[in-house]
Amino acid sequence: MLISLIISKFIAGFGGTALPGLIGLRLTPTLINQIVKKNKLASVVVTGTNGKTTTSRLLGAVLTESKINFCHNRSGSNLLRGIATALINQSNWLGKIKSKLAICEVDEAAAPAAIRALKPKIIVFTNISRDQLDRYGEVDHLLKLWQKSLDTLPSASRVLVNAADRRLKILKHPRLTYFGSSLPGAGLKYPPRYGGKFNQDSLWAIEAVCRHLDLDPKLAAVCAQKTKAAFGRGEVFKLDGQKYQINLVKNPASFKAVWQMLADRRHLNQPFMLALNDKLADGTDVSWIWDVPFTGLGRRRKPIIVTGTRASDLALRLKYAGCNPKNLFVEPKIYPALAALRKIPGTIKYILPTYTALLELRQSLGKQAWN
Amino acid sequence: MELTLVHLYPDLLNIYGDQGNVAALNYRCAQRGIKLKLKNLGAGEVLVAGSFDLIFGGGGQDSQQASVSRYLPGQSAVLKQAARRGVPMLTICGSYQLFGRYFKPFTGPMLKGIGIFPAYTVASKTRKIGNIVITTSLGKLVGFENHSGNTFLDQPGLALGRVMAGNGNNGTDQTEGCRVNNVFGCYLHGSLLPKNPPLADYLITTALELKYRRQINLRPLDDRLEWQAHQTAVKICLKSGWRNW
Repeated sequence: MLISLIISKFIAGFGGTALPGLIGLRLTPTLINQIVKKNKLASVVVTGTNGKTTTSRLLGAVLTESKINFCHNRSGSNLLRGIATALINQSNWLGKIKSKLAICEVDEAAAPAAIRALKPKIIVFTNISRDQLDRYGEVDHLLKLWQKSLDTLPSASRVLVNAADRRLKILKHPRLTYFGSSLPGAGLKYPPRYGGKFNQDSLWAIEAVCRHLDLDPKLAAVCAQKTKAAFGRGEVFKLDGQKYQINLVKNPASFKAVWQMLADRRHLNQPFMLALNDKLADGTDVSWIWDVPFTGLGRRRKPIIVTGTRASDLALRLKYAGCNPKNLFVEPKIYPALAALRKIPGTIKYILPTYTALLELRQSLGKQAWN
Repeated sequence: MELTLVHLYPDLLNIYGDQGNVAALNYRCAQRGIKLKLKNLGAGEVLVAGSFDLIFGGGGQDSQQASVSRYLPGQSAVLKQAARRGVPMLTICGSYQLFGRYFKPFTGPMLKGIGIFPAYTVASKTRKIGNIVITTSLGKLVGFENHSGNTFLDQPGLALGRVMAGNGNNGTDQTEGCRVNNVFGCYLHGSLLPKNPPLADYLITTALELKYRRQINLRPLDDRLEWQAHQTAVKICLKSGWRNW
């Protein structure tokens, strides 16, 4: 382990996000588990189809507020190699880590391996729905893999499951508890500026985590008020003095939640830019857009800018959902599409991109727009 | 004019975007003033002979497909008779497999099909995933395949089309799908009908001609967006080359 650690730390010196972890794991496949054992590192694993980043981020805020030293993997590096990288970066040359707690946001397909390697103290399952069938396969299959990994957990581990997701009811563990709206004591509301159903679920999840870490559950709501939205997850910014909000949409469930939020705010007639890419990280199959219930488009009068590598598929979907084709402006390239959006007047402009479109957008906007 | 579309087991077979095919039929009928009545056939319900002009069936997860294989054989006689009459049907992925003689999953017992297609399907270890373009008598069709089953036709001549890029029925003989009379089966999700308008219109035309016993010429629609989506998908698929891995 020492040699792998030294080599990967050396590589980490040159920067790069997941490469040190990738190399470390190649050299010592049990690297994560060895670092965990050596440091008696407790961890909280957050996994599920949607809400991982927001939930982990909120937990991070709670721990910071409580002055607890912790490490966490960066969003977007949520495979095993990303977790390994986070641990390598935190450890000294001997594999010692200062913090006693790790927050690991884990891709749902990588969760079984991560659970085996980390032996986490707490696992949070946010929800499960169809996402990128080309990558993750069927929901039933994934649930079976999750259950198998739960069976390998130490008996002291806690499993926290979102009560609102009926499909998760199949998961069994002796120390499994549910969190969510249907449970007593769940009355706290997430600040409205975030919006979206998954954010409310994140708050309930972190309240539950707090209880098991002997922290005050009220901290979750307190920190939620203070924490800025994660990158692209309901984040609001200003450009030429106008307000924009970006909401990542990556599968039918997240798109539906965001669309519902727009409907609840009565903002379905504000300027929109929808961006659909079909790169590996988005899922190369775009069929899922046909499972999104795009309501209220028949009454829309303002143009919708549709962009991304599969802009024309999305435009067609919107047409069949009742949007007048005259209001659909198709521009596959993100930068010119953004320029078109800037010209449309409105109180707040919404950008709904898939994952790689979000990354492109960030480059287009440049850093200054973000702060 | 009026048509009745029966959607087979939508509660069980509804994988990624199957609904798009129904939406396309619905939209393209509505634009021409044709009323499309949608009936869902639920688990355990009986399909009555003569109660439909069009059939659609989608795909599902393994366990749901197993459930369907318990209900579908009961409707076999009615479906076969309609198929012989020329009633148009579109079956995709899971329902395509069960319109063949059988599907042998990787684990578990063999699932009995209804044998409208002279074909059988066997699960394989490699999943065939990616964009796919085929050439058919209705022109190029483009979609997205995602299946582990390998389908073999008794006669390759019964294939719906030939694979230009992608895997198709079994990844080896370059056939994709099957067509018997006006019953179509294939692995193309995407959704298939929205961006392949000639197939959608063929299904509608055939259903109308059979019902009203006269030649039908559907009014052309403004399909610019449809063709743009079609061509973009074809381009992406052909660019990624033969065998889309």
